[in-house]
Amino acid sequence: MRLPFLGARLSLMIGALLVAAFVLCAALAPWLVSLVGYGPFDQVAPRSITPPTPPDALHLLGTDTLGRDLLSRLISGTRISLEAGLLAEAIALVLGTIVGAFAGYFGGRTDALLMRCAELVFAFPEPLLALAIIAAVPDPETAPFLRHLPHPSIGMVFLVLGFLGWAKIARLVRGEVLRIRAREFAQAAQALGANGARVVMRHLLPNALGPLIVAATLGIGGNILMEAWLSFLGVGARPPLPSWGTMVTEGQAYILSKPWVCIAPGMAILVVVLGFNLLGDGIRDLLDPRRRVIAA
Amino acid sequence: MASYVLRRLLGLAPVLLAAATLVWALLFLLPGDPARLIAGGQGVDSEVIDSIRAEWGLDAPAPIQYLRYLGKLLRGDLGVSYIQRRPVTAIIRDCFPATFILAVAAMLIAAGGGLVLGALAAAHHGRLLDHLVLILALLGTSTPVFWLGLMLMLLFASRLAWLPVLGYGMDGAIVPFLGIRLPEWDHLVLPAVTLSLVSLGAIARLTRTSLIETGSAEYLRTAAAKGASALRIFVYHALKNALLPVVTFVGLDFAALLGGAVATEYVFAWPGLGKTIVRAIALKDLPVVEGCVLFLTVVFVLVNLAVDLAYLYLDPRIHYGRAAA
Repeated sequence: MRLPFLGARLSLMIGALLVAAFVLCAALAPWLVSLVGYGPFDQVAPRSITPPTPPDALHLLGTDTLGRDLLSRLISGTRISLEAGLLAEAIALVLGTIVGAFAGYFGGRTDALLMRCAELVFAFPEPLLALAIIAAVPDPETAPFLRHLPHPSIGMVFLVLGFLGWAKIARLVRGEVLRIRAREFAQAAQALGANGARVVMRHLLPNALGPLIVAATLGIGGNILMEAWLSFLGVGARPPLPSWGTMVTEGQAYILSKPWVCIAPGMAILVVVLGFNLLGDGIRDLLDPRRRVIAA
Repeated sequence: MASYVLRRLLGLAPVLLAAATLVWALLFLLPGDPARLIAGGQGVDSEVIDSIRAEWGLDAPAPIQYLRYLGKLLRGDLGVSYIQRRPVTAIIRDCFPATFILAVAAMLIAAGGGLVLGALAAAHHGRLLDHLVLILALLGTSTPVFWLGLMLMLLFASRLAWLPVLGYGMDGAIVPFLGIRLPEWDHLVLPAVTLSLVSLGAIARLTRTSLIETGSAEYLRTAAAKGASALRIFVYHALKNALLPVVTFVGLDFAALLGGAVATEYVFAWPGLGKTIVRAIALKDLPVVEGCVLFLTVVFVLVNLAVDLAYLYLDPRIHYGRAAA
């Protein structure tokens, strides 16, 4: 949704700025942490005080329950969020595009079968399904495929979210492929003897790119929110990983007396997800001028 | 109509079978020995493990175990908790009322508030109020619900001390015949508002868009110009048109509501299914986790069916009688 009073494309710009800042922060995380001066796992609060210690000149956001610098953990957390959000969406995009293109291009029984499968996925409440699957996997740290990843517990999260997310993308791609296949240029390409793969890759998918980009942008934001939710409930990132969701959990017990431990990471999730939502909605408005009339 | 309902009910069968199969696979096929979990750890005699395996029927081949599991499900048996040694169905029976009350209260607040705000935004199209509603909707979809709950708790329960911090309240009335204890209303306020805020903004936005799109905002203005009261305009003119997107949203977003309920219950120590699931995860009490999720999946499927059926009444343009030919 575009915020009308912000002017034509300002919400798109705000979204792009927030997302760019977030990605930059994740890319430069080690350097930024070195600027802060404390590592995300170092217990740096003075020994004389029981942590969490409130924000002061040394620790701008204060320290957490184990006396670790919150700003440093917050910055390191951008990598966890980005990793989960981006990789989950990448898996969903690849699977969903393949399935959707197959269903839309071949139609008939293939289409019916593949879309039945997608409907089956929609029949489940996605967050609970993800929770149930991850909770049942004994220990991502020792699981065969996940063990070799830099963060096995996050690997679990993005694999599950990615493999649950394909249906949405597949439905979208199928619809676009059906729509575009009926257009003259696609018909012409086929009449000129282009094979199926070429028609799909050169003519159908590039024209479906717009809606896909919108869906992917909103999807990354959704995945980041989901990772935070899972980590908050204790099935996502494992401590001591500085996932923002985990950081909120760790501060939960202190919410009434030392609220800064919770406030900062929650705020970070809110701002980043807001950025992706503004960006996604902005791109959609840009691509579809009809929507602007209602938004304005 | 009747044949449509029947067809939809039959269509539930594959979904439910898939859900049951998945849950069984999660419980018994993944690495991690259920017998060891039941025994409670690593350093247990292999003889004890074997006897547990025999006792729980874990020594049978997988297909036999699967069929037995389906048979039990058909008889309404979701297995037994590893920790509490109580049937999972009994645990669900104890916890579901609290979740149901919370979800219904949140849905009522979200639908009521969303309709009012959406109608107001449409009536003030392009002006300040409209923008505020849009911002609220945007924030609602971007805020992590568990964090929102903590912030509301901090503000209203701690700093302002208007409401209790958490819990269900032990002095609520008991519903006659059912024997269900209701929460004390002041304990219900914060969790219900927390859970509602996620959907409230989205419902407001949908209501606003549908009112503007159908051009009905003009007739709202006309009614206002003729001197009708705000209440009358809302009830007689706006509500009927706006119910459709709200019902759609309930169907679309019920999954998110369930997810939000789990986090909200955990934050506010609300004795419902969500809190039970989170605690069971921490204790590795898998039958409880998977049983509760299976139960909520069935609820989800039924809610979606109800939403589709509600369309029949709300939108006269939709006919399900003939297949989409």
